[in-house]
Amino acid sequence: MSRGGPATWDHKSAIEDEPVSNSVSQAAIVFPEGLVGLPGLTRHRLSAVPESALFELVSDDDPTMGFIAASADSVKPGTTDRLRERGLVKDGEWVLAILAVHGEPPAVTANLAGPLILDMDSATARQLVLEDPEFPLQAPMVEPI
Amino acid sequence: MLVLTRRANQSIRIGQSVEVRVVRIEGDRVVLGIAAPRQIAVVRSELVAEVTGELRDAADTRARLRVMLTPRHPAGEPRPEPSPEDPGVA
Repeated sequence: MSRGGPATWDHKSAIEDEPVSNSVSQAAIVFPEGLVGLPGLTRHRLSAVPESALFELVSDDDPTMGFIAASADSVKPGTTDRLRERGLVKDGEWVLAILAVHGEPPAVTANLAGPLILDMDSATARQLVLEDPEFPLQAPMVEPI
Repeated sequence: MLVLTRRANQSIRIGQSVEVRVVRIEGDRVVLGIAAPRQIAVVRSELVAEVTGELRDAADTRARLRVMLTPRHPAGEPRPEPSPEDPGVA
């Protein structure tokens, strides 16, 4: 399986759930169509969260719109392959799931219904919407983060 | 908006590659069958709104999530923010 990603990151270790380097680099990422329902948010910056396998995506267009994300495969193994089989992800593209906190006591969930597909070679990305109960909007994070 | 009337088992075509068929009508529910190339996303409008809402929830809880992710000292206190001179911070 081809795994694309920013040359400045050890993204392979992120996919494999190992902490990435503490030396954090940033990459500019353009979502030409914006995010789902937020078409004006096209320019973003992606960086690794130190001492974790997580990433932070912050909008340059609206800095209040920032997200913590994890490799979708770390939330649901095989996600990238499933989406590739459906023709939704190309070789070398990278799939992230945005995390949120819900409920009390607080629980971390991952948005698998709206994954981010990143092509780090072209520094472009898109957000999908998946109409499939296999990819829920609030998938529980079962592994410690 | 174009408005068309269709009966059960009748269909419409959108462009060259998308067909929407009325499979059956059950009371106030219409069951549709949609044939489209797999690269065209076919989703309920409500789901799109839910994904947008989840994005906003994620942005609203980012700070809380960062606190939850912050490694703690043995005393249980969050680790102090690294200084700019910290060689581990780019």
